[in-house]
Amino acid sequence: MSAEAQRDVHFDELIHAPVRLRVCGLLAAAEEVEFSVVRDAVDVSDATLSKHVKVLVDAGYAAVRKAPSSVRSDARLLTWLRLTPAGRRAFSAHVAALRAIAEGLTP
Amino acid sequence: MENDSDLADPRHASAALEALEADRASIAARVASPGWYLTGISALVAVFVAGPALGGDRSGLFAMLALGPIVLAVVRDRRRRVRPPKVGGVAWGWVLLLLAVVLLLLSISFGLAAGGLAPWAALPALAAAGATFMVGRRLDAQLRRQVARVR
Repeated sequence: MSAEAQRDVHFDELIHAPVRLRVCGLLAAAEEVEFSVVRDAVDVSDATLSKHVKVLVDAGYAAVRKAPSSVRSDARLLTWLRLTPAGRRAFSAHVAALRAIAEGLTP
Repeated sequence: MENDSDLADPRHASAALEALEADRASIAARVASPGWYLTGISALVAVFVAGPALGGDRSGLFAMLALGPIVLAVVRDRRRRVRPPKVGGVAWGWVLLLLAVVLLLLSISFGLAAGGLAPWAALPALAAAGATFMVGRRLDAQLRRQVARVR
């Protein structure tokens, strides 16, 4: 495997945690995804998702944006999640590593 | 908690990839434009093309045509709570092609109105609506494929 190809394949233990892997997968599919959509898709509580999002944010893989909502009757903000460029690269490399493992290859 | 042997297990890796694909499919279903949105946009385009044949004061019509797409897009975005990935050059190509077709049909509508055949402007209007709906569906399909592909 060339050096360049090796850089694109990297097993990331931080991303590999089951909840975080799925969160990254959802965020990689879009520019931003609202918190409740991710929570419902992964089927975890608000607190659990917040904990995992914080880990991703602290690693520089994700970013959080609060925005007002006109669909809510209260004053609470919507929370939008997105992967950073570093997060997208790390996730892409991790998926490549998973594929290599699934195919019985050594990443 | 996974141990080191799990990390290199092809079965776990395959299961993880399958979960990612399922999640992607759920996002892909969300980013697609709902039927009411495409229908609404298509209807506005039809009204736009039929405009020359409507006669009278069209200022209210122009206001609706200017604000209508914005209102529809805002409602659509607030409901789906997913901001889709940015579209690529191919999608913009389809949008430009649609714009050219709509402008051509608008010119036909002008011609019909000027020739005293205003009721026949319904035909280019319907054609414009159909073209808009078809292009919208094509762009949606492209977006869904893009989103559903695990990278």
